[in-house]
Parts: sequence; C-alpha cells; structure tokens
Amino acid sequence: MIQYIYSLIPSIFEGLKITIKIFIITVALSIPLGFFVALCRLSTIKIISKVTQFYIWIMRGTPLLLQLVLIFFGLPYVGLVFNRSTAAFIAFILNYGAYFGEIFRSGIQSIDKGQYEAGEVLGLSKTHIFIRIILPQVIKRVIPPVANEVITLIKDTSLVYVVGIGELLRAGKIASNRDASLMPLVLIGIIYLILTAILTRGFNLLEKKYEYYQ
Amino acid sequence: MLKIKELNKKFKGNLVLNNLSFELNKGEILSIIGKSGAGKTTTLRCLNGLEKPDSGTIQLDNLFLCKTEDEKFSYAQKKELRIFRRRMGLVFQSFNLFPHMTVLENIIEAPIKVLNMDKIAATREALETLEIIELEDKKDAYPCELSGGQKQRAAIARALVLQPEYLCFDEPTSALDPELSKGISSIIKNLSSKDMGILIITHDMDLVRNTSDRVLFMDKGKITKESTINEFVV
Ligand SMILES: Nc1ncnc2c1ncn2[C@@H]1O[C@H](COP(=O)(O)OP(=O)(O)O)[C@@H](O)[C@H]1O
Ligand SMILES: [Mg+2]
Repeated sequence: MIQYIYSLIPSIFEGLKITIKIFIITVALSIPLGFFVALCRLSTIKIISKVTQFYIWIMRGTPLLLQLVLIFFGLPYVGLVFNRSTAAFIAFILNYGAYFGEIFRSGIQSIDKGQYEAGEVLGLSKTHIFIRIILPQVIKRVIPPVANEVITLIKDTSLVYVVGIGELLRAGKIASNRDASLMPLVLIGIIYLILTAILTRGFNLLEKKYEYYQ
Repeated sequence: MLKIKELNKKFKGNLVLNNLSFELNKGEILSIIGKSGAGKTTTLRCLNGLEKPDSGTIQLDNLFLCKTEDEKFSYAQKKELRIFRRRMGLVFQSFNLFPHMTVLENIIEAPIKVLNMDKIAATREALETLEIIELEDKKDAYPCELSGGQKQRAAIARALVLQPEYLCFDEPTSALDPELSKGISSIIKNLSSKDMGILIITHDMDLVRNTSDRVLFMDKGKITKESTINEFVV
C-alpha cells in the first residue's frame, strides 16, 4: 500500500508542478489585468466602459471550459494558433481578469465619496487621492472576495485537461485508470485540500494584517 | 473678504440655491441656520468647490472661484481652484477622516503634498495644531478608536494645519452631546480671534448664541433674514 503510493509520487509531482505553474502565472497576471479592467469599467469615457462591460459579460457569462476549448481549437480557424499552454494561460488570465475586475470595481465603488471629497478639499490631486486614500481601503475590502476567487482558481486549473495538458488531476486519473484503483484520486483530493488550506491560511494572515483599522 | 453673490444651483430642476448672497469677513463668525433641506450643505459644498453652481459669483478678495459677468458664467481653472482651496477649509458633518491613517497621518498628508513640507516640519506643525485642539494624546490612534468629539477635533486639526483664511463647519454639533458642544464653541471662538473667518451652518441655537457675530436665516435656498447676535438673543 505505502509502496503503491510511493510509486505514484513522480507522476503526481509532475502534475502538481504544472497545476502550480498555471496557478501562479494566472494569479500574477490576472490580478493586474483585473485592476486595469476595473479602471476601464469605471472610465467616464463611455466606449471604454461599454467595451469592458461586454468583455466581462462574455467572460463571466460562459463556462471557462468552453472558453478554453474555443481558444485552443477554435481560434486556429481564424488563423490564430497557440500551443496548449499558451492557450490555457490566455483563457485563464482573460477569464480571471474579468472576475477580479468586477471585484475591484465594486471595491472601488464601495468607498464613501466623502473620502474623495475630503481629499479634494485638502487640495490633494485626484491621482494622489486615489493612490494614497482610496486604494489602501479598497485592498482591505477586496481581500475576502479575492481569496474566494483564488481558491476557485486552484481547483479550476484542472480544466486544462481538455486541451491535453497533464496537470494534477489528469495525472491522478491516468494512474487510476491504469491500476483500476481510486487511491490516486483520493491522493489528488488530499493534495487539493492541502493547497487550499495553505491559501486560506495565507489570506487569513493577510486579512489580519489589515485589521488595525475599520 | 469672502463674497457670495446671486448664487443659483438646481438639482434635477429643483432650485436649491436661489439668488443666494452674503458676505463674510476675516475674524468674523457667521452662522447660517435653516430647516433641513434649505440648501445649507449645498452652500458649503459650492464654497469648497465640491459642487458647481449654475450661476453667480464666489469671490475671495480678488480671487474668483466662479463668476457671472454679463450673464456669462465662468468657473475657476484647476490652478485657481487649487489656490482657492488652500485659502478655504471645510470640516464635514461626517468628518470624513481617512480610516487607514492615524490622526497624525491624517493631518500631515496635505501639508506634505500640498504645501510641500517635509515630513518632520509637517509633523511639528501637526503636533502644534493637535495641542491647540487638545488631542495630542490621540495622535497615534486610528479614527475608529476615537469618540465623536475626538473625530471632529481630528478633522478640525486636519483643516487647520493648512492655515486657511476661512473655515466652514457643517453642523459641527450634530454628532456631539451637549457637554462637548461647549468645547467646540470655544475652539471656534479661538480660531476667529486669530483672524480666521468662520462660517457655521447649523440648527443648534446654543452654538449660534455662543459663537456667532452674525446670523443668517436660510429658507428654500435664499437668505430670508439677517440679524446681529444681539438681536438674535432677544
Ligand atoms: N447631489 C444632490 N442631488 C440631488 N439633490 C440634492 C443633492 N444634494 C442636495 N440635494 C437636495 O438639495 C436640497 C438641499 O440640500 P442640503 O443643501 O443638503 O440642505 P441642508 O443642508 O440645508 O439640509 C435638498 O432638497 C436635497 O435633497
Ligand atoms: Mg445639511
């Protein structure tokens, strides 16, 4: 039994590496994208705001799985060919960028307009008000919804199997089929649980760090 | 002198300021009283560049925030607005302190950025201001750790540190119990004795009696009556 589990480690480890890679790259790029999306969505220039709204609607209104398939299998028909992992990154970053965008937008909008006005009356510039007064408060408020999204993301990475990328879950499935055993899948489940537990703990610490004010 | 002339402001067809005119001198305390919805807050917001009137003139000595000349209305450019704001301060009814900054940080933010002070000088000024306002012991507290009266004093200190020539208060006693209201009266009187012009909008008669030189009565966006404090007391 123990020996069997040992024998699974190398393939599971390979899968885990890919899962973590997709996770980290998506987080690192979709959060800045989301910030940009939020600013565009809140832009006073109508066309920018409308186009952004449309993008968000598409990304949130269709399954990520479908987006992944269309980007990898569909775009080549219009001459855009990506390799598997590029297609996966594009789909994940665009999709999560939209979700983060909405989180940041509602975070920015939740700040009392009195905060802007207090800054204006003191003679601070709009940019200074946004960076020094609004943004720090937004960050505190968006930590919980961002944490939710990030935890969903770690599980969503399993979707890349549809374009044939061998991540964690796929490694488990292959072993499970080969050995006619559910043990690999149980192991995979435990690994996901550990990953989400680490993330949850990390975000809890981050929340604590911002508890010094209300 | 601060001069407001024939100010008009509509919100969605609803006339909130109706040919409003009044003046305020340096060293003078002027109160405007009136029912809720009379347009008092809107008046202060116009004076502080938070709301654009539709027409009329707001003039600080020979600096114009807006003016109507030959029926043409013009509003200050960015640079003039900035100068105007430097000379005019506002203490909001809800204080609007920055919750993620300590009292001291709240106060030094603008001097550093707007008056280009370095942090040491700004801190020195801030501590002096806090001493006047008797809040030095709370300099490292966050707004959520302050009582209503302390929040208000922090907000006053934040405005004062920029040394405005005129300071507006929106309902300064609305969040305070009667005991604290006396304290705010003496702070306000003390400021005007340093030649600051003070505009208070309120419906607290005691505050008016205890502080003001003149009182204006406002209704439906215009001044309906003016009296000196002596007439008012009778
Ligand atoms: N931003 C706004 N949009 C629409 N109506 C407003 C706005 N601000 C104030 N008003 C209206 O203007 C009137 C005067 O408001 P305000 O100046 O706050 O009165 P006061 O401070 O004397 O109670 C009220 O009827 C209020 O509903
Ligand atoms: Mg009011």
